[in-house]
Amino acid sequence: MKKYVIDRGCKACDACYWACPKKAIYVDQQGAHIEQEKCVHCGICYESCANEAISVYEE
Amino acid sequence: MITLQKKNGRIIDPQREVPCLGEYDVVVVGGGMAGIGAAIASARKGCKTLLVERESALGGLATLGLVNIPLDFSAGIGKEMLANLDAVEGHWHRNSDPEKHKLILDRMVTGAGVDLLLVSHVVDAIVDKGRICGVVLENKTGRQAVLASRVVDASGDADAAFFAGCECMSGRKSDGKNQACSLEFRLGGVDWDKYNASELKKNDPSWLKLIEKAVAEGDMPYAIDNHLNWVTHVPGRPQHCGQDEISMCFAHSRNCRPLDAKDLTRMYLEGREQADILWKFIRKCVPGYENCYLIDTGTLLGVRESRRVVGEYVLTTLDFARAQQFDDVVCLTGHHYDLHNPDGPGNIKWAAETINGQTHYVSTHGQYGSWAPPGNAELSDGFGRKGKDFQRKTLPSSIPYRSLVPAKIDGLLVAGRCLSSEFMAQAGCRLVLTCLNMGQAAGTAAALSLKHDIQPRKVDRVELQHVLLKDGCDLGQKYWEIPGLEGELATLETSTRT
Repeated sequence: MKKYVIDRGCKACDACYWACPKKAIYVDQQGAHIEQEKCVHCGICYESCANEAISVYEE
Repeated sequence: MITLQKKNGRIIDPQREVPCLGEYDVVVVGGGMAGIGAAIASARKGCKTLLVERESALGGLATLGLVNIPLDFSAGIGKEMLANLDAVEGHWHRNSDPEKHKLILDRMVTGAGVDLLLVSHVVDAIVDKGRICGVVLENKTGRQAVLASRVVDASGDADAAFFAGCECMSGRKSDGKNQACSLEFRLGGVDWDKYNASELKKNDPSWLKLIEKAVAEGDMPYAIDNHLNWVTHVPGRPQHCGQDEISMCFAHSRNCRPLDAKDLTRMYLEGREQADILWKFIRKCVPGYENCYLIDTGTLLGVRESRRVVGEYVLTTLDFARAQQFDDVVCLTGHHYDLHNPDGPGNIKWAAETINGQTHYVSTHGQYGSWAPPGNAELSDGFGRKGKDFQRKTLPSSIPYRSLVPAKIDGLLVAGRCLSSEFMAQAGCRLVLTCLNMGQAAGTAAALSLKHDIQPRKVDRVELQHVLLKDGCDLGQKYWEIPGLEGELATLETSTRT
């Protein structure tokens, strides 16, 4: 299973927040965060990030 | 040819007979993203459509300006465009290949049956009894007129609307200064993997500390900007071998007058000098860029804001922050206040607004940007809530149809960055796909107004929204109900920002 993590210099632009079909992402002053329990591993956030701030890990 | 006649230091250009290039249902001025949306939508509705572009290719800033970052809600023609780009490997991570993008747009526009005229400047508007009925062009052939039943002004600078006599605004209220302008540039020979894995990308992604150090140590002679605005990874290039290509928004001209050819000239020269400084600084100081080289600078200067037409409704700064839901919504944006400082480095992500008689420093996301409000004042949300009560905007902002309809002149619509809006609202409504979606709405409205033989301001918003929804546009139906359209929304596929 693929795990998506925002760990490479998020600029809090909100693109992934709007893109996530499951509302599994919230954004605060530190940047965007993926709530893993809500994530369905669809990868839409990964493609939506113009800053390539999201990493994918195989679990 | 005009015979030299002088009067009070001015040259007299008497009214001349000009050949008429043709008569169209809809003429779209400007082949940037808004113009493309308008022209394709209008032609697909059966209107004989002409698209006039002053440059040699379509796409405006998204291609010729190297703003290869097609952000915001992808829906309708925008979604189709991204799918077409995907099919030629010209798109990933919301970064596009500007050259493939040009070709895709050529094919989409001509494929829709639009007549296309490149390298032609619109230099005047033809007006009859308060209604625009054509434009005057200048190109290699000379000066020509084109007659049109409807004109969509997607010129970015509201040129046609201004020539037709529409009232326009420009710059911020306090001092009239426009947003800073940027000349983007591309670098090749980048080791993207190395940069992406670097401590810099992880801990200082906007290069704030790096730039501060570079200015202190003389690697950058002055703070061209205090942060890296964005860097995109151009798709379809060699990867994992140190030969990646990136596009960058870094250079900035301040105190800009983007409606003055002399100042535009100054900004192009300054932008190229800045690119020369910046790519050398980057090669010296940024991991992964040790062997990089400058490929090119943009053909088109990134003007973010100039004339904004005064429309039937002026989208306000607070409407934007409050995500005001308009009954006549035709377009969405998920963006925030995004002001590139008019007269100094950095950006500003708040607006001073009066709420209940008190001054608030309003933000959509709770971030200052580069500069804090006076006295480090606390930020408020669009409703004046502060501190722990501050609520980040969780709904997209809407653009109402009335913001695309100029208040004065009939037969005319606007789309793109010249929409009817206050300065800070416009700062959030200028992304690539926001402009394209606005264009689709304006082109569709032009076609409907012709179908019913009514003026654009009289177009029934429910019918317009119905058509836009059928054509895949996103009017926020996922987030709220649109009065008059409740029944049919359930059957429609909702679009996303991806």
